[in-house]
Amino acid sequence: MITAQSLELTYPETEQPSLAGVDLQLNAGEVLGVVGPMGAGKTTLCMSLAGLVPRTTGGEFGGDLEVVDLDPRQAPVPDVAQRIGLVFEDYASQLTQITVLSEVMAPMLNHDVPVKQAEAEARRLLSELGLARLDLEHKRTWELSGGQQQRVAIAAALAADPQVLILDNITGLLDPDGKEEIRSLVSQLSQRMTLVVVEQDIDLLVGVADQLLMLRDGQVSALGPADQLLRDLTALDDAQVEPPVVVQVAQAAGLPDNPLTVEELTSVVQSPDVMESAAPDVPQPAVLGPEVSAPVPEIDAPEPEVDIPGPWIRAPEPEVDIPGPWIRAPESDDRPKAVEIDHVSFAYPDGTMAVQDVALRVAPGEVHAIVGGNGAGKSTLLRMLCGLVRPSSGTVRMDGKNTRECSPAELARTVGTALQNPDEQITERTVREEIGDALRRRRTRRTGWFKREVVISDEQIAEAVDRAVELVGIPTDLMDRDPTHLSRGHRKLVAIAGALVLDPAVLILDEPRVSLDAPARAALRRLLHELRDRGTAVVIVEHDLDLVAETADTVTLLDLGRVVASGSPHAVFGANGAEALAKTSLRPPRAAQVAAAFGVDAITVAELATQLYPVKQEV
Amino acid sequence: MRVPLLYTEKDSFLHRRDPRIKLLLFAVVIVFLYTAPNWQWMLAASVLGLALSIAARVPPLVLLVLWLLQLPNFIGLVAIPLGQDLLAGNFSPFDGDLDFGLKLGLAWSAALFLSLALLSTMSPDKITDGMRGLKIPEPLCFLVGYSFLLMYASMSDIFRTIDAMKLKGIELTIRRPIESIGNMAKLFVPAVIIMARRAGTMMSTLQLRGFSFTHRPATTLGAVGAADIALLVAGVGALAVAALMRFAPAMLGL
Repeated sequence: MITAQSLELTYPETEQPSLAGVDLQLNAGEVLGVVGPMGAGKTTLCMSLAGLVPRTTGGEFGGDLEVVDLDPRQAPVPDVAQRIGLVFEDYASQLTQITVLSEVMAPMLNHDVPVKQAEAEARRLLSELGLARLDLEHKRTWELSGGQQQRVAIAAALAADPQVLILDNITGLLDPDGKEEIRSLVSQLSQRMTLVVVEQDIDLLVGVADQLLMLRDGQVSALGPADQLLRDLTALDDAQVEPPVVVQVAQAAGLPDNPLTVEELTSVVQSPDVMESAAPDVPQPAVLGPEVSAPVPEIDAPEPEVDIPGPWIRAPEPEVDIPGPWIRAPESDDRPKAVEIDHVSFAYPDGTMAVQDVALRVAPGEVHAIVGGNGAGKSTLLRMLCGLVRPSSGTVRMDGKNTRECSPAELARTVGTALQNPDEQITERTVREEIGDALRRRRTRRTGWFKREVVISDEQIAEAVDRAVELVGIPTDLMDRDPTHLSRGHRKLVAIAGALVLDPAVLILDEPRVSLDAPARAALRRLLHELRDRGTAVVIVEHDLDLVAETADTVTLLDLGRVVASGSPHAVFGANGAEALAKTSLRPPRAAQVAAAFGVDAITVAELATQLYPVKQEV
Repeated sequence: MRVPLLYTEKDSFLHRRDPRIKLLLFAVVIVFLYTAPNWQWMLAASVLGLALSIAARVPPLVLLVLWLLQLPNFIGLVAIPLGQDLLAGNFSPFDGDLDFGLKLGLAWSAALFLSLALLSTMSPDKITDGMRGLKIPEPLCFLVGYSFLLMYASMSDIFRTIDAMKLKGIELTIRRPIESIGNMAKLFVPAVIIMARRAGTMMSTLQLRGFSFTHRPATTLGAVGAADIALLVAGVGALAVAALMRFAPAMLGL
């Protein structure tokens, strides 16, 4: 169905090829998973397979390519459109119609499907993708949330009924329910079409992908059966991809094999070999992971404390750099709060309530996550926190300032914000200038009608930029590049560094993990720990609960604009919070889902690893 | 992000009319603006347009703002020349043809209110479907529909970018007009970048979704009803009478 030999592509005005020597063979009905770091050439591969490069971008191409019996780079567009579908990562730009229903009907009408049949099919597809609750005939496409836009784009691509469907990193903005829907959709679709699935969340490929292609610097770093490559730590590391969660658990627990699924993990842990090897007289793998080199004779690792109110401190026992487990420090409610939200509500002019009676507090040095499914009210709450929206009722105080009494620009002096779409914030021509822009803007102060004095020197700006770059982990060779030419993940890091350069008392991050590869995600986790140590209050708006479980001290769970649960990650995501979580479109963190199979209450990989052996010993 | 729309999503007599009829009436309005025999006709058209806009449930504030936006035309075309003539002691302004000046000034209001009454009652999909129903070539129909989308999507992008700029300390405020003009340039960069990125992906998406720009069925059209016909007849009738009054005397040598 797809054959590529020595596929090459070099964009105009670049010397380095974006794809070089890519070989590929995919049979009808197979699912190819594609992974790799930012800038590896994944999107270029997708666009090549769909015949869009060099057709729409220009550039030099080479090698042989055949997709559904034609070379999409040279075949007539209508022939390509009838065979191949593509959903882009950029969710907003692929919407071509005014309303949701017409967006999904359009591809069918273009292929002469009768109007009534097209409408019925569009409604079915939208319902299948969880959008049935919307007013499909009237809801405008630009008014949807990012996650909803992505679902509509998927439905529109499916409406054309292609033989090959390419999904380019499409789940980044979807909530866990949405991701699971895509996962089961891909499984269903694989029975009637061939799929190429580019994905940063590698767990979504487990059990779905038949083959796995790992790209790095435009070249194939590995290609083979997904079942083998997904547990091949060397290959995954080489492609800078995080292993699937079960593999991480097995590694952290020091298991000899690399199980890929919960079923495999269960069988490995239950196997007599492993049980024997757990005996104290045999040298053991470390409880917390393979990186701990010393044998561990004791297997009763301390269980993390849970449900104790108050700020969190890191548990003393892990010596390796695995995030968590965290235990709580004694309560001290008298600490001044960096963020105070009191009974805040927000209604649109037409009366629609986006946020209702929300209250929360964040102390300096605390990482607080606001979580919820698509449309839960997270974005509106975030816009209230940074002063862009004033609450209809209630009060928002950021670093002691009432957001009603100061402009967003004034508030931005002490409250840094990195928005979901970094392109909205980037204005400067180099990464260095972009990161330092907020400081340069404030480098002088008016002292008279025609007088200004310099309050921040160029050296201070340079130092602050260097600090922010180091904190965020931006490669130094990017500093003089045009930020708009970087990959989306790198642009996101630049926006985060720009928000940090003023050394804010509060940092707000909107969906920070979207578009980041494994090294960047690791850098993000380190950043959050560093900010905690520096005493910066951090508010993350996120629906990736794995990141939240690993990094947040406290969590507020929103659904339909209301707080349905709040407290520690354990209280919200653990066994006690399952009921509240089940009411939303979120699912527990992946580690918690694995833990549930063992009857263990753990929400991170590291926690689960510490509890696996005791549980199995009881068996 | 919510952006101001031309379409008023309500239910009224005008909303329920067939889009083909409303587009034909829009064409009638355009011809009428060049045909109206005198300023009294133009005044009547303005009043009728205002009444229809209110009947179409266009918010009064929108009507006022849009009318104020075209006020400079009236001032420039009528009030200033009139004032100049009067101050110069010329008490027969516009070369003695005050009717011309008033007609020109009122034409802006008539055009605004009548087109608002017709176009604000059709969603962009209805407008393009109406065009398809009138057998207008598909590329033009597509162009109109896509222009609406791009306009609204770009406005949404710009509003979001303005918000993002505020978070960087870049404000557009009336209190500091000179600084705000400088800041507009800052807004320009991300807005253009977002639109440029959108353009590439949009073109690719249009290709893959099979937009051929040659044919496309209308999806929202029903049968033309008696009320539609009556409305069209009234419009064409009014145009015919206006044309007769305008051209008949000259043609008959009166």
